[in-house]
Amino acid sequence: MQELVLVQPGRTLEADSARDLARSRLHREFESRLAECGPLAYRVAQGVLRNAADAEDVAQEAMLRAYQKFDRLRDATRFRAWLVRITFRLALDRWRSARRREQRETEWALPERRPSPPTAEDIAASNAFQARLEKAVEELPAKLRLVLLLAAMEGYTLEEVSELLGVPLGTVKSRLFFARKRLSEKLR
Amino acid sequence: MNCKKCQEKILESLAAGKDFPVPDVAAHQNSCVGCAQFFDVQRNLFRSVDASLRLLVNQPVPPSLLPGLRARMDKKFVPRRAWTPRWSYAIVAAVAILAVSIGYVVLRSVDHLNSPKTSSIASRTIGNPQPVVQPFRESANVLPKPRDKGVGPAVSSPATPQVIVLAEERQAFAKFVAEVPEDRDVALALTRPAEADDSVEIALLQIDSLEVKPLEAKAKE
Repeated sequence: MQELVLVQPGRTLEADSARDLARSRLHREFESRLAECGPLAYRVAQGVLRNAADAEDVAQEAMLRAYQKFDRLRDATRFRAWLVRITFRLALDRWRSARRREQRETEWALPERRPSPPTAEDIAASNAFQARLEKAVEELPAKLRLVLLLAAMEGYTLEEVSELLGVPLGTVKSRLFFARKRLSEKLR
Repeated sequence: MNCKKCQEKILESLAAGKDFPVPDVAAHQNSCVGCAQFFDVQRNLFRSVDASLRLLVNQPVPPSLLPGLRARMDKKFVPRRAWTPRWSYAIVAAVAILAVSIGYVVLRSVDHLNSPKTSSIASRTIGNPQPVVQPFRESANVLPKPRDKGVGPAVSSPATPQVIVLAEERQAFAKFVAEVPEDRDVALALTRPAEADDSVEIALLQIDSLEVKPLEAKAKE
């Protein structure tokens, strides 16, 4: 004999409202972290990309991804570290693709369309040291680069950087040491 | 300590973030002008690196960062129900009605082909005065199999009725078709049944009087 099952509409409504409640709670929690973590994400992206518009876009994208998976984060105290990793990875991807595009365009550009070589005045006006430093930072391995950028951020001690990255303080110090040493060798 | 080793130590201490000479290096620096100069140059370099890095990283955060993020969040997580336009239901209904109509027309045409009236018309076209119309046989084994794919009769689909035509009738029909003149009017006149001619009047047979004779005389004979 066929068994009839009665579906109670009230139960579905309860489940919906519970889900909505959980969602709004997560949303509030995420919003409370944005004020602190938004600038951090932006600065990490800015350190890699060195372009305000790109850095803003990448930081927003990273926070959006973090929001989408926020309910899966078991340890809420690790949110900052998680966001920094997402941002750094996204920024590196963006930077690499921009570099590839730039190389392609340089290869395919007609000679008359290529930018004219900088004049002596341009060179003198530009901050040559800053450009060399940025290039040297770009050439660093990702791990050293991230530590260097985080350590240079205002308000972050090496202990906090170690906490952010989830690595021991000694590892942070050694990565910073090698990063600075390589930079000085390239800039000398 | 020689100068090379001293300069290595200077670099290491500066890279480690120490802005002052370590004791054993300081002793060498006091006696060696070259190493003291190297220390100053390298210390300035590291200071410049730190300053540039701080400048690079600690740029002011644009005020549009968080509002932009909130706008993107709202755009990305809009409930799906609100996105579905109302007119999409009308399109779905129209497509469903169209499908049902087409199905109905197709079914009607199939029924029309299967009806006995259509079968009898087909048999009359062949020229059989009393066709034997057989109902559709479900078993595929009963169907006559063609002997040769190219020459034999085409096997009809199971949906259409079968008409049995005798071999001599088929031959006669083929002969007739072969002998039909090419002139279209003549061919039509031969194949169509003759129409009743209204101009010809046939008068009824009239008998004025009937003479009835008795059978007695015959009986006498």
